[in-house]
Amino acid sequence: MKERKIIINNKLGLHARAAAKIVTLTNKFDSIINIANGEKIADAKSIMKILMLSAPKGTEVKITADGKDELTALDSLEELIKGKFDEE
Amino acid sequence: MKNKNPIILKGLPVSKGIAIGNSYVMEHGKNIVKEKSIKKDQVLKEIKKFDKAILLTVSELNKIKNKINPSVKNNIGLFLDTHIMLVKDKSFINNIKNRIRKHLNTSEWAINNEYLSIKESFDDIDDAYIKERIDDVNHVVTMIFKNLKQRKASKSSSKKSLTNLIIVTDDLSPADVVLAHDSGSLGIISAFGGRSSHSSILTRSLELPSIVGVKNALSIIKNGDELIIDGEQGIIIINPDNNIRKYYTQLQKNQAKNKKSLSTVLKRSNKTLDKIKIDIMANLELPQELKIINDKKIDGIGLFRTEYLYVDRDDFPSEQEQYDAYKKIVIKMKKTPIYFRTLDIGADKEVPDNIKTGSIARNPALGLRGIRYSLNYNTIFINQIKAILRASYFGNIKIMLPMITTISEIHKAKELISMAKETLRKEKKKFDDSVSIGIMVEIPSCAVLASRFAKHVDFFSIGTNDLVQYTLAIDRVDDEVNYLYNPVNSAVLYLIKTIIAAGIKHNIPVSLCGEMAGDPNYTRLLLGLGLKSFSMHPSAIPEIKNIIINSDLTKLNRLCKKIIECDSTIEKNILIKKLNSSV
Repeated sequence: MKERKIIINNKLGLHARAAAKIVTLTNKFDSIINIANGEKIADAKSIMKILMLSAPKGTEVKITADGKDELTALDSLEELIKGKFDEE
Repeated sequence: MKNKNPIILKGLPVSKGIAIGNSYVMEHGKNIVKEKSIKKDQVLKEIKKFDKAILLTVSELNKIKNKINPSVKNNIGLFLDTHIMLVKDKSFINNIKNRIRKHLNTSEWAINNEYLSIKESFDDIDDAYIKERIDDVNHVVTMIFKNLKQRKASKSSSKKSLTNLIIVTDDLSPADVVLAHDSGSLGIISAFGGRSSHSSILTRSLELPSIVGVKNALSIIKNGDELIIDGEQGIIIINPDNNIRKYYTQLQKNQAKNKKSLSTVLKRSNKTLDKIKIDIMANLELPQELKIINDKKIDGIGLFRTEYLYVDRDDFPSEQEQYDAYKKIVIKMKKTPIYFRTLDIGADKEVPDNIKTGSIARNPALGLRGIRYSLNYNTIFINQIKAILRASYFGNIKIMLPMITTISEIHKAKELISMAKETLRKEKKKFDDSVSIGIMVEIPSCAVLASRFAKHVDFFSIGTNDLVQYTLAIDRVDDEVNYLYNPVNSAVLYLIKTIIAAGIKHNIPVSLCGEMAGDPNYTRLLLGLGLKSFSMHPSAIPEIKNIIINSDLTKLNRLCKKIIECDSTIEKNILIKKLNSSV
């Protein structure tokens, strides 16, 4: 299992469309992927759970992946979050 | 039947147009579900039923997605994708199935319980924006409920015909809007909602008259009431009498006729009745708007706002990033001119985090904004200029400097532009060396002495929003004084005339890109003042063009002169009306 800490940097935080982009991405991987905000842990393949994490701009989240493709999964997820979800 | 008195309700007009028809009240925000259990041997059947409702909902959403007008597709499409994901969400589905399996809930009861538990978690969320997403969950749940019910109802009535009915509802999901449109509904009234909600954007895109935020709509309007929606004014009339009905039927007919003739207007060349060519250009805020512009014959982008690249981020866009974005637009517009306004932030324009200048100005309208900002932060300006210059190689770009107060600002900006060119030459990057440089005339100091400023630039563009604000010392976002904000104040008209005259004297083009250019009340007045080039929001083009091609410049001068000289506002408005009604 691999883990990383990232700060949510886009203006609206993990809102609906950002969450949708995460889910689209994570579903391409076999690994179990989670996002944690403090005590709360969300399955990164579930949009409902990500929304319920409630992570506005500035939140530090921990992303973890467990599985064969865990490294690429974490890399792509990190890129998406750091790239602010390609929002304009 | 007894005669009822007309009742008038007011709301937020979100989609223009008039609808006349009977109401169909559709209250669905509250999903009333009764607690109900099933027997153990019914579990499989119940789960199957639930699965089917999920499938139906997903395919319904997909169908809606495919029907959306391409011009708004990106935004709404993404939004519908989110809804589809919510419906298909594994944890959501599994939790509901567990409730059916373990607690022997009916599908409805299981969904209801799951929704309540999700809602509870959302209630704990502090972030207002994310908290509001419970509305999306609610919309989705409502759709699933509907699809569960549909299986029970007789097969043929699965889609209720809403033909010629006006929908009155509590809250509206984008899916409801498309459904209403497809089933022949005339318009929509809802108790909640805002102007920029996705549903409202959709009603506009589908040209479905709509008024939202009518708080007491559901308690006052009964099913089957005769209604009129005036989507322009935000007015709903219940039980209209004969006179009102007659008035609106006529108005509706006229609008339909106008719309038809407007679409043919776009194909005609931009010439007045006396054969003078007038340029009609579009203001562009986002590159996506190019799509709307493409089907209208225009003479250029008279104002290309570059701020979109700078907002909603913590850093500045690099030269390369800007170049890539600008180049795309230039190539799309081919050889049509594009007036690139350099960064203009401050006053009523949103100031992003990266542009905060340390000290917060007390009065941002009079502070460090427009060219002042660019001259103070050279590197940001030079980066943008380099990107614009490089893009100029691919088309017809003009550089437009905002908020010019003094002639020395023009010289300083030109020096920086020369420096940018020098660097580009060293870097062996191609650009159009003869790119024209002009200014926005929006500060009285520049307007009054326009003919002196004209000697130093290649063109003028009049920014009336700021020109009015600075001439009259009116903050137009201040509710207490904005009644004084008047674009036809004689001093303002005098300045506009001065600027146009200066352009003619020094042989440089003058266009006008403020809101006035897109206001049909002022088109003839501006023509009469000598304006030959208008730049406006793309949606205003058909109407303004129609006025231009039906005006005779030789007949406007006398009345326009009278209007400038008129001291009474009331009299002036009468004269403007007269000007607009004559042929």
